[in-house]
Amino acid sequence: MIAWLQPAALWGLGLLALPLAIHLLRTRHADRIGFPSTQFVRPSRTAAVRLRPPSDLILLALRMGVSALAVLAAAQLLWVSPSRVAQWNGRTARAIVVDTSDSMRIPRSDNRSAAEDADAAAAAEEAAGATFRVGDGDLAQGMRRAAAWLRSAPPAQREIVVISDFQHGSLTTEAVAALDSNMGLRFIAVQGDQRERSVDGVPLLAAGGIAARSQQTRLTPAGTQLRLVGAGNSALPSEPEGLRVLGSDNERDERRLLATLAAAGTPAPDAAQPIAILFAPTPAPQGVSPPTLRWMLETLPRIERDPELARLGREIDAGALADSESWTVLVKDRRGRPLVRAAALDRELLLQVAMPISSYLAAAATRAVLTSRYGPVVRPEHEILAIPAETLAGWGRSPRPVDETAWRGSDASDARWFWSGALVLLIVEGWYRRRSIVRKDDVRVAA
Amino acid sequence: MLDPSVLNAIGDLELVARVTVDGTVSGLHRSPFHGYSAEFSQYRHYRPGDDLKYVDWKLLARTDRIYTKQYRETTNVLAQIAVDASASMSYRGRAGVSKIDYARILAAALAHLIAGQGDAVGVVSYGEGLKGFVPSRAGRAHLRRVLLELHGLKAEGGTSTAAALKRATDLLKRRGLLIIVSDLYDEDGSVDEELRRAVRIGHDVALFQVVTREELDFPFSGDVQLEDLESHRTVVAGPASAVEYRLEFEAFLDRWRTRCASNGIDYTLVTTDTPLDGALRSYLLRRARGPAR
Repeated sequence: MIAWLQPAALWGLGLLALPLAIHLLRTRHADRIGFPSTQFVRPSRTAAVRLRPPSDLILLALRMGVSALAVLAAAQLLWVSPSRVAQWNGRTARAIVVDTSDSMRIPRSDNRSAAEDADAAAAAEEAAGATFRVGDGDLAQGMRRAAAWLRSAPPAQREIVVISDFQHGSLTTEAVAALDSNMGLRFIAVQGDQRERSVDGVPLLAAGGIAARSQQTRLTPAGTQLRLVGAGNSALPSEPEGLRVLGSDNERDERRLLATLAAAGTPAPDAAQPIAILFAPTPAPQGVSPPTLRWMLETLPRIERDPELARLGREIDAGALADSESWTVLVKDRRGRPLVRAAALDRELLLQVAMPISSYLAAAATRAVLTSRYGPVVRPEHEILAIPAETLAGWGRSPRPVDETAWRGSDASDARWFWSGALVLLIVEGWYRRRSIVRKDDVRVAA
Repeated sequence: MLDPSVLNAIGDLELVARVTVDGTVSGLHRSPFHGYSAEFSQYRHYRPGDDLKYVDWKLLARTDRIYTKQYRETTNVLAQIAVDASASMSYRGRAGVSKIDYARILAAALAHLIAGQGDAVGVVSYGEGLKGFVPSRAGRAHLRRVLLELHGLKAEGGTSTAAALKRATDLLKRRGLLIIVSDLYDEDGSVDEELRRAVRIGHDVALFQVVTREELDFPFSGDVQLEDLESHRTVVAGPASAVEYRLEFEAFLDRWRTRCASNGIDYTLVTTDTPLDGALRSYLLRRARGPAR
């Protein structure tokens, strides 16, 4: 099978017309030679119009040969022979995915970390042959990067080696199935910290008769327990510190809203970063300004991306809000009008919702705002449970042998033979050209 | 064999002439040139190998014995060599030697040969007119003058063979040997007339036509622009021109052969790629067998 690594270069075969044109046009200029007497020479009357053969066919053939070989060399011809395929199958392109998540750096009881073991294992794999090392805290993403590198690697059997502590949930069947089927998959598990531990979660809103609580996760080799523990201060505030809800003259609506949120386990507000939520039809106070940079970077993007708010916005028609340059629109209704927008009022983040406090949107918007204050939950990094060895064994597979179609990633071609041939022809062409010039000079000297 | 290009490379024309003649005449038992003023000396018994031309047939009839006559030459041959020095003679074929060089060496060899026999030799060079003239005289000192004249020949300009022939014929005071070395492209009725006149006067006329192999074979296969060295007229020759040229040129040579044969002129065609001594030897042998007429 013949393959071209740079098939676009074959357009260069059009260059073959160049020497042909040169040799055809060159005959238009007849050599001028002195001769003792031209009285016996019959003029060639048709010389000007006759279709003449190219001059010096041998030289033309040599030049066309040089051009053709150079173009073929530039097109990177690859002869895919069975022995070459066997050679490809004799080597393995290996990409190593090393888990760099936080859990790998937690020291064990022996004062070593899983990351150190992973490095040693990766070094051993690298010593075995040409490899590519990917460090990623997200194993699925790391595997995708490794697969992308393997696709562009020279023809060989392809294998991904994943070195991790394989915390429960760090890898899924879907992530494994997304890999190319011809790529082998091998897992090297390193031991993470197995000691029992507790992880504190977020404090929860206290309102409507529900006392202040916080989440706490208990992690053991046997399982994971999530508990709610009391904050110790059982006094119920009339209004949570750091949160103001404005939207009704009737305080009962506000209390009912907060009680609903507290019952749903909504994160508590932070007194250091106060938030005010303004429901329609309450008008916006004077003196609002655009949100500060800190709010813009952290909180507002999370509110904007909240899936529940976005879904509600696509379904409802919001009431009209007064235009103002100080407001940043976060969520729009199905007509494109502002549904939730933000501004700053002194130290407070002021959120205006174009729905009344009694609407079901009020609870969703308030919960999204309070939840957005917290980043991604880091609990999985403390997970002690690991993916079972049987599961990893089931996901693992050997690389498939490559066939002739694997030439696409080849980095070596047979172009050198064509370059050599072109060079030889070029030398012959130079020798032949000099010889022709000497012969013509002889004729001119004779004149 | 003496390669013309090797001979041409030797600057000393006298040496070249001597080398050529020495190689040519060795083996020839008598002079190829016959004097017109030879006197009878004595009879000698015939010996095998003697030329039958000198057998006295009347004496044989009377005495029934074979005698040959021996002569004593009192006066020598008066020879004039006319060399064409027109531009067409400058053509140099692949043989490496131009026609003028070949003609120069040929004339020098002939002059050396004639002078070596004690005969008088002179030279006339011509183009459109007479370019140089050395009268016919004997002696080695005069031979050097002839060779010097030949050495200075330059092929340039047109040709007027008829005028040169007329002058060369007139310069010979009495009957003598007139040798013409030319490519003879100047072919017209007046040349023919002058040749006939020279023969009619009683001169022994020899004609050497010097051409190159390229003029005979016309080796140009593709389109070529040919420039006439004398008229500077250019002609574009194509692949088909070669065949016609060869036919025309062969007819041209035939005309000269016929013309010379009909007038009793010794005609020799020489090409510049043939060894000079070979051409000279065949001419001398032909002369030794007897005059053309």
